[in-house]
Amino acid sequence: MTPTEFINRLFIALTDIHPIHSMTVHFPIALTAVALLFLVLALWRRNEGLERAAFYNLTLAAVFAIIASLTGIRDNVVRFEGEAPLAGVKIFLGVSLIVLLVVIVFSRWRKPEILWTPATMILYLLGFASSFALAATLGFLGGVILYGF
Amino acid sequence: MADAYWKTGTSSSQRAKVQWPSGGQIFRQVIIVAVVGLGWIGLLVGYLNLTGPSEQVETGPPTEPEAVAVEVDPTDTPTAPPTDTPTSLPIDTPTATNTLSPTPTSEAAVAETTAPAEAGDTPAPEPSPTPTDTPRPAPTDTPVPTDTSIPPTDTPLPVADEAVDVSFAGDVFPILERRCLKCHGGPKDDGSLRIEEGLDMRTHASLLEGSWNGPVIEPGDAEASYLVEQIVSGEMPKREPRLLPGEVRLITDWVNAGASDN
Repeated sequence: MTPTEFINRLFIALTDIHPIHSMTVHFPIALTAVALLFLVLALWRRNEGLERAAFYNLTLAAVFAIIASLTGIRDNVVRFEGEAPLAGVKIFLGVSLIVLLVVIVFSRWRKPEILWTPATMILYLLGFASSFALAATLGFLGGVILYGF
Repeated sequence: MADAYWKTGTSSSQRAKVQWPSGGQIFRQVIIVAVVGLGWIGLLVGYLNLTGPSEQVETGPPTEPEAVAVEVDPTDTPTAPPTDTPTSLPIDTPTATNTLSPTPTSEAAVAETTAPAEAGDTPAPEPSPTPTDTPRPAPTDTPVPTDTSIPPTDTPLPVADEAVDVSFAGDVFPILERRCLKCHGGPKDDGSLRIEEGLDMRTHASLLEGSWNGPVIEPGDAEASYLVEQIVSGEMPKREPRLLPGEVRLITDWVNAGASDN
C-alpha cells in the first residue's frame, strides 16, 4: 500500500465508514472524570496545581463535548437517517452538559479562587461531579443504542 | 496580563490554610443545586413528553436459547442437535460443496436483476430439507419481558413505499458477511466452521434452509421472517452493535421481494 493509498483509505474510513461520534465521545467522559479526580485530590492535598489541572481538563472536556455533539448529530443524520433511538434524550443531555461545562469554565476563569472560597466550594465540586455524571450517562445511552438494554 | 487568571495569588502550589464552608454555607449551596437540579429534571420531563415515546429503543425479550457453537467437519456426517431442540428435526450440515462465496457470475446477476418483478411475484422455490411446520421456540416460552421492554412483534417493520430492486449478492450478502458470518458460517481459530444454532449464512441456499428450529426467512413476508424479527428487535447480532436502519431496510425489502438469489 502506497502512502497516498493509505491516506485515501484513512480519509474514507474516517469520513464514510467509521462512526466518528463513537470515537469523540470518549474524550469528554475521560476528561470530566480526570477533572473530578484532580479536584478532589486538590482539596485533599490543598494543592493549587491540581486544582488548575482540573480546570484545564474541564476546559478541554467542554471543547470535546461540542465536537462530540456535532459528530453525534452527523452520525444521526448520515448513519441513522435521522432516526437514531434515544436521539432526543441524548441531544437534551448533551446540550445540558455543554451548558454546564461552559458555566463552570467561565466561572472559574472569572474567579480563580472559586474552589477555595467557602461560599462556592460545594457548588464548584458538585458542578464537576454533575458534568461527569452527565457525560457518563450519555456514554451509557450510546451503548444502549448500539447493544440494547 | 492574561496569565494572571491562572494564578491564585500564592507562590507555592500548596495552600497553607483552607477555609472550609460552614454549615450554613453548605446548606445554601446544596439548596441552590437542588433547585437547579429540580428545574432541570422538570425541563427533561417536559422535553420527553414533547418528543413522545418513539424515542425508546426496542428491547424485545430474548427469544433464542444461548447460541451454541458447533464445529462442522466438511467430511463428517450431520451433527446431532442440542438437547433443547426437537430431535425429529433433520439437521442439514454444510458440506464441502458449500462455498464461501455465494456471488453469482456477473451475467447471471445482471440477468436476474433486470427482472425484479418476476422475482417478486414468485417466491424463491428453494427446496428446504427441513419441514416447514417445524416447531420454533415460541416467544411465550421465554422469560417475561420487563415493563420497559417492547416485544419485537410491536416493532413496525420498515416498509418500502415502492417496488425495490435489492440484490442478494450485491446488497444483502455483504451485510450478512460483515455482521453475521462470524457466528453463522465463519471460520474458527482451529479451522473448523462456526455454525451457531445450525444457521449457515454462507450461501443463499443454506440461508433459506434455516436453522435447527426451521426456516428463518419467509420469502415475500418479512413480518413472518424470524431473521428480520431478530435484527429489527436488536437481538441479533448478539453482543455486537445493531444493524443500521438502512441495512435492516435492505434485508427487509429483499425478503419482501421474494428473497431470491439475484
